Amino acid sequence: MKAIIASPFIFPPTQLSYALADELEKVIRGFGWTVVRLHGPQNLRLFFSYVLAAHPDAVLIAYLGHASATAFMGEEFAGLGILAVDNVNDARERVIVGMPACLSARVLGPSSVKAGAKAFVGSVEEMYAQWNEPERNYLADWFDYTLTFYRSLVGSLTAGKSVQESVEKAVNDYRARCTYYMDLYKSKLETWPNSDFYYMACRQNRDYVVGFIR
Amino acid sequence: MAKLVVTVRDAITRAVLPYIHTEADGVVLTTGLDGTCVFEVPLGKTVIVKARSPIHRPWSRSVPVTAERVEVSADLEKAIF
Repeated sequence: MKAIIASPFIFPPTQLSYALADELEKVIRGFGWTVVRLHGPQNLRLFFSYVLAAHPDAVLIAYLGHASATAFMGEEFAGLGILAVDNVNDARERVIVGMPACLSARVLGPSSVKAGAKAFVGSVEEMYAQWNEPERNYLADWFDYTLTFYRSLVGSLTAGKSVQESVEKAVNDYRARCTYYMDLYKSKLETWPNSDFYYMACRQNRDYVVGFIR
Repeated sequence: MAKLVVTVRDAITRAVLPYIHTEADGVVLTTGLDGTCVFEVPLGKTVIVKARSPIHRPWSRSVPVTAERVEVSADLEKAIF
């Protein structure tokens, strides 16, 4: 099976989501999949459209970067975005995930599924990055709970489960892992000086992620 | 007592950030339009200073108050996609 990973590298905090995409690529390859990666400046609509057309057998599109309600921006901040409501037809029959990415489940998500995508998973709110702080490597926690989603999704698809079952399980596994970290941060509010913020960030990353299934 | 002056800026643009939740040893102030707020803190004490914004990386530091006026710059990185 094959996945496309789009990982722009423009404006913070995409330097972190790009590193997360490196780990995601390893996870997906670990399941025996082929990965087509769009690195940094390759995340322009022209390249993305070409990759979609050249790899019709890519069942998963994973996007990690800046987004709006209507588009995955890629590196096209002055343009249309690499995948937007006007070109979602190009992603028919794929499972699309925008994570971490802000707001994409508001309009782009339902539009994609309406246009023929098998599923879309993203957030209806902003999504947060996490950093390695002196008292705790919150970055590693963020990588872990985000990769929990992808690992579950790709694992289920590899095992031949339906898209619906795979997406639902992945979202549930993801939320459970976020909850684990929220509980940890909550227990450390008095001793970890940044745990208050990361509790909030983790909660927002958990509560607003939704899935649409065709 | 000493004055602890906290100025909050965007780490990339260097623009001062108004209306930011700022904390020194549990006392909470909000930055003004100039991105600054001023705490009264005990001279000689080390205080925990925090700045929190809904769209930026959290900022927390231990600041030793070694003079009657101590200035701290909190440069916040964007945290949302």
